[in-house]
Amino acid sequence: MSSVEERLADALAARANLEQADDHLLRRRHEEIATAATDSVISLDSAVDHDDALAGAASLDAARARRRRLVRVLAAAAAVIALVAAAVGVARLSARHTLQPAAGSLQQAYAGLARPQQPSDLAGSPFGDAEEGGDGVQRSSVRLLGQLPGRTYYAALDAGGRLCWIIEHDSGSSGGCELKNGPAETFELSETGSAVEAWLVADGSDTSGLTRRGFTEVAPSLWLPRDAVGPVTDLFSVLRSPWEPSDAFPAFIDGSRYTAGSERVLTKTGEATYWAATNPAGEVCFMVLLNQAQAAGSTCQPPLVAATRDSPLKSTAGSASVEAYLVPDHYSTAGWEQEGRVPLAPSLWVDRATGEQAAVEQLTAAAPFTVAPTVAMGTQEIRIPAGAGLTQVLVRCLTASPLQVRLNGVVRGGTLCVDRPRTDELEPVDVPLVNDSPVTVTISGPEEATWAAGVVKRTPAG
Amino acid sequence: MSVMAPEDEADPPPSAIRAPQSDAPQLDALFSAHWLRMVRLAVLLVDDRGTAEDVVQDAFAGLHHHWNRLQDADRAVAYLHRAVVNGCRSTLRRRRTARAWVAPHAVPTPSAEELALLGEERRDVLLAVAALPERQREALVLRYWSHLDEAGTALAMGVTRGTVKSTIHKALATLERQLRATQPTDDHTDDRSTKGGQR
Repeated sequence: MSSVEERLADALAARANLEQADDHLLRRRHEEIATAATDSVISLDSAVDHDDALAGAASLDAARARRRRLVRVLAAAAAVIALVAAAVGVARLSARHTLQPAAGSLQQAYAGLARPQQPSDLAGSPFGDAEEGGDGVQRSSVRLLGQLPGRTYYAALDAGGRLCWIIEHDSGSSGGCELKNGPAETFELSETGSAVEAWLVADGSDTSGLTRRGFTEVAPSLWLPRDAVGPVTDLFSVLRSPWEPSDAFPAFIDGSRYTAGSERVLTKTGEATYWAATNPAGEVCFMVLLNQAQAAGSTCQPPLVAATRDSPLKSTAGSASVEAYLVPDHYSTAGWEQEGRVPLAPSLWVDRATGEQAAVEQLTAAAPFTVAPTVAMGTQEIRIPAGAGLTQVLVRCLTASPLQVRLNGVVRGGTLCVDRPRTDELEPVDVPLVNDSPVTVTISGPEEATWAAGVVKRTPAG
Repeated sequence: MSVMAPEDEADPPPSAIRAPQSDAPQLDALFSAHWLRMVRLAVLLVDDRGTAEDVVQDAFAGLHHHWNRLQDADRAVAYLHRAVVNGCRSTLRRRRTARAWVAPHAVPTPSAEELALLGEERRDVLLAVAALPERQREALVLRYWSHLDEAGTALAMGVTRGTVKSTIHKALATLERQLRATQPTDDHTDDRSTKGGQR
């Protein structure tokens, strides 16, 4: 126990011990308890507290079993679900008064759950490494509904087929399940002490009440208050950076639809140039210009939508095709790499092919090459021929998976690609001078690690 | 006036008569064993004895009410912990609401006499604990005073074990920072004692 823990335990014990039993009062309390126990009228607060405590106590046996099975994440989720089950009842009751339920299969009744599962549904969720089944949530049913700064909304089905939700936030997670298995209803996603009211809306429900109350559908099945986030400049730090002349749109792009001086270049590759900007409606706009074809595509989103979900922008002209994603600062991209998306610059992700091409272009710009750039996944070897002189391996990470570079089996340059402030930097690894024999460069990483690398000449230091 | 402890079998309290005969001894035993402990827990969360007793009384009333669904001492204690934590939260919520309408000094805090009995060092710790966010305070009290393990703390708070871990971690870090900030700098004291020694 650390010193602060010891001091804490001591101070709490001393404070608690100031309270001593008063036998007379104790007896009176005991009598009052018996009287209160027979009283059927309980305040709403108190009733909810007791129902919740009862649910918690009932989950004690399950918690013991879960401890044995060491399914920690799933067990914790089940406890949370049990905890707020009573609160759900209240939320559902109020929902029944205002909104009409839709019929049909439970998962199919919510667009947010009916779509196929993606790696990102699980990667950032509390169920990422949990096992299937048990008394928790069905892993295969977990769907990411949307994200806000500081909270992420998930929906899923539990083992009993009941609809559940989990809200991951900075201080932990909240969640709950419907009290019974169906029918599909529209209900509030209760969250302890939250300032943001969120609703899960069944397909075909009457949402006029929510609309009147200032809610809007920000992602399939997820409704949030229109003022749940601030202006777009709060969401994208790139929009707060100083404007540079190089940020300006080229003359052939009509910039009049955007707020003057709001445009910022996210990055420019040989294939495309990417901008973020705002428009007079306060929306965030995302533009991709295919440089060769001089063809541009753009999309604008209100702050709430831009904050909550990823909005792809696909631009195609001839054989050139780019799929790009503008990502707010708070947004978790966990699982995106498994979905074939790679980071290209801060706030910018693209499809893997576009990212690979950009990485090779970037490496090629560092020519002359002794060994031409190559793109690979996982582990691969590069051979530097004998007599190559002083060389340097340049690595361009396409994913955040850790990479190691070995020269003839010896690790050089530490671990690459993790904790990188920028995604578009080259990682140089110097190769010692070996003139009489070839050098084997082994770049190794997990299966999903994607990288580009080449070998360039270097000049002697100093 | 004669004072009678609740466990005194010579004069059973009315609750023992109201509850089913087979359950009464168990409920009485729970009351005797856990009343003061729960009051102390509640005091550590809401600061004043009167409110704490009300919260605990409500928790025990709930225990009586739901006894047929619990019927197990372990479950009952888990129920009491959670009901007390919930009750304290509700109290603090009401108190926060009330704060908007009444003067801030209306919120009860430990009396100066009480704190004086504890000594300066403990008082600093308790003030730092009182300044923590509600959930962090709960986690610390349940873990370091009630001595619940992580699972028990999670159950009482109605959160995951992971949340308990991270909440306690954050709370201890804040506490340590606070305590370091309130600690008098020892440099001068040391200087004086050294000089004194030289004399």
